[in-house]
Amino acid sequence: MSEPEATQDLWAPWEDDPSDLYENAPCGYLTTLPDGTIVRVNETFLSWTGLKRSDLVGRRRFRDLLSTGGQLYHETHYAPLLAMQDDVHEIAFDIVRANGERLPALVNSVMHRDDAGRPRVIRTTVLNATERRGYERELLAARRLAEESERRVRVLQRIVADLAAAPTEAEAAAAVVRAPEPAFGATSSSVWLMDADRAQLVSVTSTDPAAAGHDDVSLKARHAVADVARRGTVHISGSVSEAERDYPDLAATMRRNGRDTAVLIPLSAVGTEEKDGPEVLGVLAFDFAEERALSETELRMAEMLGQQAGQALDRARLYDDLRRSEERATFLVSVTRAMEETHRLRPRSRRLVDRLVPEVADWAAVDLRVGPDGMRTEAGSTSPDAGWLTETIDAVAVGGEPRFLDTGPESGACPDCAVLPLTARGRVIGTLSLRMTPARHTASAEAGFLLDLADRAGLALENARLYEQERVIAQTLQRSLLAGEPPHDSRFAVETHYQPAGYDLEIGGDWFDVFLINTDKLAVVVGDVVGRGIDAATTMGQLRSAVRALATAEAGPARLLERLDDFTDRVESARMTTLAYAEVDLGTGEMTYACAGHLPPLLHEPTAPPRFLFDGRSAPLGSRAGRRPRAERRVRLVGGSRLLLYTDGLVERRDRPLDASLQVLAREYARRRDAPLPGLPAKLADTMVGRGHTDDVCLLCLALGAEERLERAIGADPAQIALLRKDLRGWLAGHQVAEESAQAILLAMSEAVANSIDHGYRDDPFGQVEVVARISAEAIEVRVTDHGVWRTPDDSEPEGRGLDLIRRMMDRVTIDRSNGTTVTLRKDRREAR
Amino acid sequence: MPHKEGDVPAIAGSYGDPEMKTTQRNAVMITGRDDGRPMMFSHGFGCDQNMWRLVAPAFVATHRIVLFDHVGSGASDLSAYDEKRYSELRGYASDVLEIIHDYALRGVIFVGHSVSAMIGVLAAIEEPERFDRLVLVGPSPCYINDPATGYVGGFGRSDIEEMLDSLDSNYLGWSSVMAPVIMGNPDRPELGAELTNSFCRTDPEIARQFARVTFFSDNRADLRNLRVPALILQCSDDVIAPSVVGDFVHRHLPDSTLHPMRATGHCPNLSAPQETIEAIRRYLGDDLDADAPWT
Repeated sequence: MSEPEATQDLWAPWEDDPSDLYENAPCGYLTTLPDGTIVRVNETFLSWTGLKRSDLVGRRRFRDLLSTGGQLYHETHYAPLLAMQDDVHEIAFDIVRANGERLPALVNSVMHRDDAGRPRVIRTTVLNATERRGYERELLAARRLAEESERRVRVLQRIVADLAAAPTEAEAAAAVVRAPEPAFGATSSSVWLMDADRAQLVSVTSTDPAAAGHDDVSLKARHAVADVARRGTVHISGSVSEAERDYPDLAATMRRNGRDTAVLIPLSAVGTEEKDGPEVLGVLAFDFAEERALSETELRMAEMLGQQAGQALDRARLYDDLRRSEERATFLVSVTRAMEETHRLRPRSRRLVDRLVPEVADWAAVDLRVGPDGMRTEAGSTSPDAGWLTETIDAVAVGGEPRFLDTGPESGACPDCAVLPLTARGRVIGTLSLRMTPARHTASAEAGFLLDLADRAGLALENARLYEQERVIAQTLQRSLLAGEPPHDSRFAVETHYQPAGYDLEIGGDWFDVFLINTDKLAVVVGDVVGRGIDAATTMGQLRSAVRALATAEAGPARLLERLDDFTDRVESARMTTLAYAEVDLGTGEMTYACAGHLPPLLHEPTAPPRFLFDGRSAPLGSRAGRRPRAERRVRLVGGSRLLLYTDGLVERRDRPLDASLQVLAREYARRRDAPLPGLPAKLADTMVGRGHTDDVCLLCLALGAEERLERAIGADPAQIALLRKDLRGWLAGHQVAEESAQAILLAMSEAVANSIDHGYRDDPFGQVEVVARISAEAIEVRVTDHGVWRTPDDSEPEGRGLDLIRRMMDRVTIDRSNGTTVTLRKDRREAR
Repeated sequence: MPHKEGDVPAIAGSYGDPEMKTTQRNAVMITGRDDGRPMMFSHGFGCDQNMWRLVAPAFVATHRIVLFDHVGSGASDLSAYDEKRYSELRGYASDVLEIIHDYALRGVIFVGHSVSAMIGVLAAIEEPERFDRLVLVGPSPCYINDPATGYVGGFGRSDIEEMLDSLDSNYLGWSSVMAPVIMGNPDRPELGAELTNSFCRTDPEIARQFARVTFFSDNRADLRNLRVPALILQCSDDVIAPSVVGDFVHRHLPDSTLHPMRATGHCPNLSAPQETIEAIRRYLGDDLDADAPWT
């Protein structure tokens, strides 16, 4: 390029033309009135915008050339600023071109005032800032992005921290439901959690609980929440009409709540090996009052939030499972322990259902196949449909397979019920029926736990059943062995008492027996078999029979014990039995006795204090020490002597040495020297051991020669007169009262007692009539006392007639009405003369 | 070039009682007659109490003038900005009432521009006994068109979003635009400097929030509950609050007077202060000379 040409170029033709300078300046130039009306515009502006001068000048305001958003900004910022400062610089506006496109511009304005200071004209330059604005816009976008993402990261970090600290599903849900508002500017959000057992999504929390649409949703429903949970993918309804197309329910909810956008995110844990996709544990839904599109970043962030929440839920679920399994283990142990605290069948069943309700079930029942009608023990109030229950229990009892009824249409009448077989030793002994509490998992989800529970319960109940069975048998056996009338003989009297252990334990092996070896020889025995329960009862029965059989050989107590030793060779369970055995010659009063490891008999003779018979001792049956000739001892008893045989339960006490107990026993026995024989053993047992005894107590008291005095009390029941007559007859015979006198006394006594019942207790069926008979060398005296109020009908004299009879038969009759009515009958002893 | 001094009376005021909570929070400025009827000027979105500097001085001789900045604007205490409280206009209305309580104002004439018109309406519905009249400059109960009811507010949602973009674009170069604002207060240049720096400046985040609250609010249903008489100043050719909106407000406010102005645009208080002053004076009428003490 040559120098002259360059010089040529430097000559600028438009330097001469100011209007060209104006028109073609490198910036747009507008002159407007103070109200913005355009009065002058240059060519540059027109060419940039494609607008026509004729359309602008006098017709449009500068403001009108801006985008609507720009107009708003102009009115709220630009115009006030210009009015106050008279100039505004570098404001970014978009000018709308004739073809509708935007021209990014930087605008400067200066306000000119007249001499009075009134606004006159505004001069505005418009710089084409397409590139710069593009660059700025990028900067701005980048800054916004950075700010946004920083804010979101902050939100997300906080939520993730909250989630990490959430130990339960509820807390994880509460953390995640708070996220969408700060993260996306959502209007409200809600969380549903998956209840896989019941195949539904449970609405657990919402930031706007008052809004509609927070119902539980069946997983099978055609519902946005259910769909998102099933598919595991995000769903967005960008407008109500969009929602209308996909989910009319959702659209209705959005309309009711005034929302234009709804977003649903699956809360999913990372998939486990056995499942190919991620497991959806819940759904987060959030919405916007306006139509709002989520950016790519926002979407990614929402998905991430869903995953974080899913993991937190997964973790919470694991915690929950762990806690639950610990709870279950503890529960099983405590149930088993509670059941074992009692031995009987019904109390055990009761313990079981009482532990199950309400902790596990709303209602529970144990049905056992015992007895003709079975046995039901139930707790709780909401029993399921009776028809279904009966049918199912029968089916389970027969088939032995558990039934769970917690899903499906048939569960309507009895939702969430289970019937489990109670099996023990391969046999179904009954069923356990449950209606689960709604707070827990469903029955089938808890199947493992419930079956475990049923197994344990089955065994415990079977044991109780066996115990019960054994106890009944043992009791029956013992009762049959202990019962049986002692021989009736006027030469002696026997009173016995058996008191089982105070606790609900198995029966013991104590026994007694009284029998006549021959007409003049009486045998008494008290023994104690080692062990308890049915075995002990059986052994006791065998020994009792053996003693009776061996006694007939009349070889004496020592030989009898030796033969019992032989017996223990064959009956192992009889080994170490202790017993006291005595034979009494009723004619001579001579007694031979022997004790095999047993406590010494206590003898009370009429003229001396009681004494223990420590002689004739040897070791328990079948013991090594016992394998030598057994000892026996003879003692002569006078009439009126009393002999007490007893088992260790009477004197063995943890808080008192045996010696001391024996002394107490001797003292108590002496104190009751004159007490009537009937009831004496029971009173002794009561005094010695009371109610809280831990062992069986067995006593036998033998009185040689008849009692001096007979005392009886009967209820106001004529039927009991016969018993009284029997006792009195024996007593009279024992004292060798002549038959004729005895008959008279018996008849008179019967009349007197009948009178007392008829008249004294006419209105009192619970009254008592006391009868006391005494004998002396001269006479027999019988006193009949009642405490009733005698009422004599006016027109009859039954009393008189009865009394007449009595007076004729007795030698003397006195009637004392000072305290109730006492009739004293006296019969002289003619035979004594 | 700044306009000449003395053209309009200046606001010779001072900050209110520093003991009051609202004084600092809302940069409350008290001027005028101590015993005059209180006249409270409330600025709209985009600016601060300086909006009133061409109008308020006209009432200094007759009224007790209360000027203030909404929290987040002007010289207000930015740390008092509470996203939750100011997420709806009621939060701003509560501030107005708190100022009224702090200064024990009664019989207030409330002059609200733009969004502050609705803020005043809400405050006056809440405690009508405190208010005498409302002057609503360019009011709009709802800026967004509502096709469902046929209501024309003037804008769609996207328009507002675009304006928010403008806010952001201009935030970049904002500080360089700051020009000194002469307060006509030669005695106290430090005051002028302070206000210069605060004029039209807002934390961009707060500006966005305020814009959202302003333009997305819908207070149409509240209008019929106002029991205080109100004057509506309706500019011609106001894009922000078009005449149809002014008519709507007039129709729904039970005791309102509609005064169409020759002034154009949205800020007659700046572009046509004299017409604005005269319209207010005419509306207040005899009250101007009332002797009743208002302290």
